[in-house]
Amino acid sequence: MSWTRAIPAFSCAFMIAYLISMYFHPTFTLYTYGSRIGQWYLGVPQLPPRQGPGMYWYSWLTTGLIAGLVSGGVALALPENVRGRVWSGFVWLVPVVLIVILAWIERTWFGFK
Amino acid sequence: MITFLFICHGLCAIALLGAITHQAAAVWIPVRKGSASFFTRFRAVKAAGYVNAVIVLFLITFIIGSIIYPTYRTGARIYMEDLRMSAPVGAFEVKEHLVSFGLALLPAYWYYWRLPQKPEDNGARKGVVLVLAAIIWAAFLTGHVLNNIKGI
Repeated sequence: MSWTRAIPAFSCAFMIAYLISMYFHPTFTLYTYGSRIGQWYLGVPQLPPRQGPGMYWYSWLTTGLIAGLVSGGVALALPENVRGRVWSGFVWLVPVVLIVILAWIERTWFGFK
Repeated sequence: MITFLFICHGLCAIALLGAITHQAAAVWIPVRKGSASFFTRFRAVKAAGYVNAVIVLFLITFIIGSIIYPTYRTGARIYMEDLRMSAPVGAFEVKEHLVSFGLALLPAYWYYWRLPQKPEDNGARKGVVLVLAAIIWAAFLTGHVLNNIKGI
């Protein structure tokens, strides 16, 4: 039994969890980076101007990593016949769908309502 | 130090762009007949030979980018916000998320491209390299344009 079988599930879950974490910020934001003074803070504290602006990207990556590891573990636990039925094309379809959703989320930056 | 890292970030991004474009072209527009044109020679490469280079270059570029990111956040971004340049700021937001998707995709990219390759994974292999190439091109162009607006 090879651990590498968990990799596609890891990648897909990482991307999905990252986007969810970003979109529902601050619900899934684990920590904040105070960009001006280089300090890390648990959660999403209100940073004074001399410490901020707060950066959450590192936390969203961590959330994605955790979700990826959990999903990879679940994928390893699945029986071979179930795993074999999962289409390998999900590994490119998932990011394509997520990029479309991302474009919709970020549309307001570009003047779209 | 930040300037040095920023230049390294850009140089690694250029090398990464070249590697992934070679690979994507070799996979999606394979050479059918021998020809001496530049475009044919550009595509006539062994696509699998680029995998490790792409992974290493992506990781180096990503790590350096994550180190210099706070400098952008406290400098160039605030400059652009003061000028109400919301499209460039938004473009960087999109870039930030795209490269995160790219990072997540790297293990799957390695998984489907490692040797020996299974014929039934051919579609996944072609798809993942195309998505990764699109992400890298978008990230590179965004970074390049933003640097022209305000370097860090």
